[in-house]
Amino acid sequence: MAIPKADSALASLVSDLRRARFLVRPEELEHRLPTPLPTGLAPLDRLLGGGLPRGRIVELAGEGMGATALALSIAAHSTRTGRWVAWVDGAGAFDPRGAREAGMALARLLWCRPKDLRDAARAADALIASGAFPLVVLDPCRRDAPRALAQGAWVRLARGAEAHRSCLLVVGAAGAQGFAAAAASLVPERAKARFSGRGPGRLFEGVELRCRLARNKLGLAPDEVDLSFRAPSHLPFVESDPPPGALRFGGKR
Amino acid sequence: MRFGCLYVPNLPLQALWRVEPTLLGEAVAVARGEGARASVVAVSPAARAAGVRPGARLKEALALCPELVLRWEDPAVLEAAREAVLDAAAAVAPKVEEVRPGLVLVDTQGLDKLHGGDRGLASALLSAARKLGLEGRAAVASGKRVAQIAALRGEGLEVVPRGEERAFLAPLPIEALGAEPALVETLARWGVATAGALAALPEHGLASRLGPEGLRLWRLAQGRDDEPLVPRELPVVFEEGCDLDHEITAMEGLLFLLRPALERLTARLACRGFSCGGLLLRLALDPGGEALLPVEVAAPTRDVPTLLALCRSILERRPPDAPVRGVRLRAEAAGARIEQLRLFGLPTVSPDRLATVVAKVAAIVGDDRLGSPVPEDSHLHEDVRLERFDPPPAEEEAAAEPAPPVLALRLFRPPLPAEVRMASGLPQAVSARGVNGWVVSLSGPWRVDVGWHDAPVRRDGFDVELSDGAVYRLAHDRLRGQWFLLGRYD
Repeated sequence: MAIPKADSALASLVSDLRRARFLVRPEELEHRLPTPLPTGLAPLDRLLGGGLPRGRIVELAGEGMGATALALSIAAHSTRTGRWVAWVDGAGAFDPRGAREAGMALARLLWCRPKDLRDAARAADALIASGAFPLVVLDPCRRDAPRALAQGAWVRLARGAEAHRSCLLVVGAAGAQGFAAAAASLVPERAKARFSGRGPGRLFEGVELRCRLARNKLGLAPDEVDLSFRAPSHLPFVESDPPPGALRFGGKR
Repeated sequence: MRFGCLYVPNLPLQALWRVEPTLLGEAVAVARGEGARASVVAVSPAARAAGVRPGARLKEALALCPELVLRWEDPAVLEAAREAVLDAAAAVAPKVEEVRPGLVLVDTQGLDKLHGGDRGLASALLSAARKLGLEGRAAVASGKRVAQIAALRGEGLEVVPRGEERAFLAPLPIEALGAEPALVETLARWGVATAGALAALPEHGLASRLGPEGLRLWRLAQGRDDEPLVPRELPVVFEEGCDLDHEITAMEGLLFLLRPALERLTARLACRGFSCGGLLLRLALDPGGEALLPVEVAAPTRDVPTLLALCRSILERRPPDAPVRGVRLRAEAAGARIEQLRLFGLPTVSPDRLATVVAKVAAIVGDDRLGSPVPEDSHLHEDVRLERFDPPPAEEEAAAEPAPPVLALRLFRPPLPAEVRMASGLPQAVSARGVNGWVVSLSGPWRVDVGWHDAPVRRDGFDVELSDGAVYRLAHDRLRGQWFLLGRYD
């Protein structure tokens, strides 16, 4: 006879906890779960469970080659799929011509060049807070520069990203201060540079990268993927160049 | 036809209150003239209570009210207030006529549904004026003169119902109709003291006795007022500022003055539906001369903190070389881009908000360091210009054919001068600031020869893998015989 009484007490307890929002159903939390932003690189998407987590900070750590190439490739895919992207170029190293070669729609790219790390963080914060850019790339002055950012700045950036569902991609290691703020850390590691041919006709073809998911708060298993990047052209495409196969002066093909 | 009228009484004083709101409630007088001939032109209620009247000499006014705060009339401040009255009227109706400074008429045709009738329109006029820091009176009536009389003699908000103009005017004295003193005197001799008595006179013979002015007055007293509105084209240049009693040298002091000026400016722009597309900061210097500082705004905005940050940025770059005696801000009006946001598709922001964000970031990084990159028609990586960020709408597009990922070249700006040891005509070792190593692999040379007609560039490019494990782009300038590291692959 005591069981129905216990059931009703439990039901009442559950009801009270629901009312006080201490107990919620999984579907009620769905909007707070990170939804992925596809990177355009199928192996990387698989590694990250569908893409970059929206509303989170992802760092591209590692001392080797490939961090900028990864950021560029992801940003190019975002602009190609109609999204606006902001590139905070604290290092002043961004190459728009190379970005166009990588397939970036430059009209959808906001390129800003702050003078120092402090301005870079402030600009990134303002861009995230606008809610207009699903992806903001922060490329600080030096590879180890993000470590110099105070923890307060990281917390502010993380809160802004979460509130406005933007993904902040940091080129460089966030360090101990940013450790708490970054949701995932990707470490590109160079496998080897590819050169082909011999003598004067030798070509730099690109690099083979191994990208490792070093740590994350997304519940993903640590894993790694291999990616191949080709080298950009020495003579990038210009507007006046005829399309491949066509003659410059309108001759017959 | 129905007309609305907005009247801002005591305009010189209200213009002063807009600039110095701390003087509200104080005994204040605005003075005009020089030396002994200077006199008071406007007084606050507190000063009036102390017995100070417009027209009084300064000594007399100060004797009556020793705590009186005296300010000299500033033509620029008065002009800004006059234009603010026009802006307030333009916020409510598209056709505006200025009768005199502080008194404007609007055509109410077609605005009934927008503002909820005559009372709503009059209240909208008052509310628009209040937003610009001006207290006024408003009236709506059939006829320009009747609307003016109702606003001038009303208490705050007056609506003269259709067809009741004659009844409204009847108890008013003849002077209220705007009659000449000689005509008033003539009518007084006839025993006609009110508009009602004038309206009761027969029309026959009135013109021959009183002339056309008398006939016009009689028609007005009858409630027949059919003069059309003469709308004026409103200026699209907005200026605010103030002169100072003392000189300012500190940046913070200047910004303290600029913020309220920007607030007044953006409020006026908002009234007219504009945003600020650019600013001209004019500083009057002591003892003479002025400094002109153009402030570029990356995208039209009305965000005061953003505009203030831009002003701070230009003042830090080009500080005035003398103490500042006065500040003027002129805004270039730019239309806000209107766009219907979509119900489906990617979440996006309105163009106005995007413009504000762009301007805010420009205030942080500098207006020349932000935009959409556009590579020039050239083979050189450094030939890139920045354009205003004006992106196509964010729309979900089908992912294009997945392009093979391309390695990024991190450019050194400016290129790093390098020392190169050669062997068999090819680089063998490279040394530059922070870079040292033997060449492990090499590709090139790739010759670039451009700009022969203007600024010739002749260089051989190499991709070199150094013993430090990194791959660099190395260039040999054939004109100067120098080596440079252009960038590093990453």
